[in-house]
Amino acid sequence: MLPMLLPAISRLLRSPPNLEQQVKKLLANEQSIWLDPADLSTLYQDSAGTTPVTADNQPVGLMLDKSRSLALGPELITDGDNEAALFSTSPATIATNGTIARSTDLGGTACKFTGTGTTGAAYIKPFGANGMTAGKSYKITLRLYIPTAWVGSGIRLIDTNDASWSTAFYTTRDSWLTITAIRPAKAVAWTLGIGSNISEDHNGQSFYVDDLSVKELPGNHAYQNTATAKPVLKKNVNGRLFLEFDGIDDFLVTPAIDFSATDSVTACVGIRKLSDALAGVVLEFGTSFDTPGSFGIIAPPSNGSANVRYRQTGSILITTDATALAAPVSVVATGYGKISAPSASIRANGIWKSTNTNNQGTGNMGNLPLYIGRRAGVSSPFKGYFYGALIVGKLCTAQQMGIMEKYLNRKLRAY
Amino acid sequence: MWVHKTLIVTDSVVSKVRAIGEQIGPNAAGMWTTPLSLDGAEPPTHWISAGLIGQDFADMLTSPEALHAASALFGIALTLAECQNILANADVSAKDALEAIDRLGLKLVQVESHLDSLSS
Repeated sequence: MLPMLLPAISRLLRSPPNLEQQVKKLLANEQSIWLDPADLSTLYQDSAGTTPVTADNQPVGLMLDKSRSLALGPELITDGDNEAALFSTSPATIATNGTIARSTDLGGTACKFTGTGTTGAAYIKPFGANGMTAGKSYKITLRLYIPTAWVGSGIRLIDTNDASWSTAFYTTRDSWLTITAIRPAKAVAWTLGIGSNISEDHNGQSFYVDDLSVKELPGNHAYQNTATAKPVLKKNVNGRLFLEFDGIDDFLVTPAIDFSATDSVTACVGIRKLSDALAGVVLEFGTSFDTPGSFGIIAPPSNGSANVRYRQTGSILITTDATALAAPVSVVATGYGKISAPSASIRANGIWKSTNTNNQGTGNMGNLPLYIGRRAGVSSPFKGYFYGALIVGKLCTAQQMGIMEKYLNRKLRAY
Repeated sequence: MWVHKTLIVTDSVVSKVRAIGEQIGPNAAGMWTTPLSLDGAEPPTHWISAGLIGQDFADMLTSPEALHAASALFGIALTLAECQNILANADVSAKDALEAIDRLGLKLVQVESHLDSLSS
């Protein structure tokens, strides 16, 4: 039997990589971003990554970038059996209005925080002040136990530098909760706090933390804090998933992506444009069309236009349009260009449409946030469906663009 | 539990409701950034937010009394009269945003300086 199967096994082993693998390979060693709303493992309802998206008609507050395969970095907690010791390495920063001790109150060992204040914040800070590195995203997991006696609102994870990030309070009492959270990169170093930043009387009250884990989650993850500005996961009649942007206020944004080592970029999106009434930004690197080192895909580029536009800016803006794409229309659009060439081109549904070779000025691409769905998060909202995006900091070959377009078209079925 | 709401407020109360949103927390911060006016030109007369919000947030908007009670829970200093004024200057519906905008005879304002310049 086995000898009969050998040729088939051999063929399988030699079979070319599938599209997903080809995309992965294309992006692997480049500064890049890969957004895939059809992959539920990358979607969370809240920007802190604590509540996964499990079905359509749920808001998307965090969409993870798959370009680094969602591979976690090494464990940064080096004494996971003794969190109390971890927190106590820098006494000035371990707690606000409280003390920390290694506790066996609940069986096993855990870090026990006991409040000492009647007002003010109360939280513990692994790694001390500014322990989380600027420009890095993290996945944080821990177990939390809040006794009934804890009189406060509950416990949450927080960036103690600016009181932002995870907004949900965990309020379940007298049982261990397992919490997972994701923090997209910040431009500055920050401090993870576990506790309550609300001024409450917690004198003599305790909570417990165990099994703390902090790992880097590389990638350029896109997020949205504001509930009404979150796009919504939808499913089309063929069962394919996409993000719906409402053309009012929905958008996602990434931390700054450093494309400054190159003056070239290739950006491919799969969209369904629902309206040509008002200009809409599908994606834009930077806060404006004339930001040096930026690029964008705009659909439509101006009120009443039936076009899809790629624009690129060295120190001078140039644009190029794919025409005759009146809404409603589905299109896989690829914009690509090189500042020094100079050139900016656009393809639609795998076919070259136009190139602009006017002067783009000088410089490389920037180190800027990527906005998806709205210019700078304040204007020109995109009204339509977003099936995914692939962006890489280089000028791709026609074959590579073909891979990107074919991959996105499998989701969109535009052609 | 998520519910869709379209929330349109007049320019006269937008600063107040934005401040309330900031106090409620990041989920409600950053709302009402999209301007509206009768002819789509600046200056805006109204501001809109639309999308899925939590049921608890939606419940706050059902009456001045509910808004007043909820604001107290968040530690927001609002009088009942202020809550009455806010909701008198607000249009809250479960309708699609564009439908609500049309019903009020409004248009989205496009900020000229944010529009793409002409192709070079």
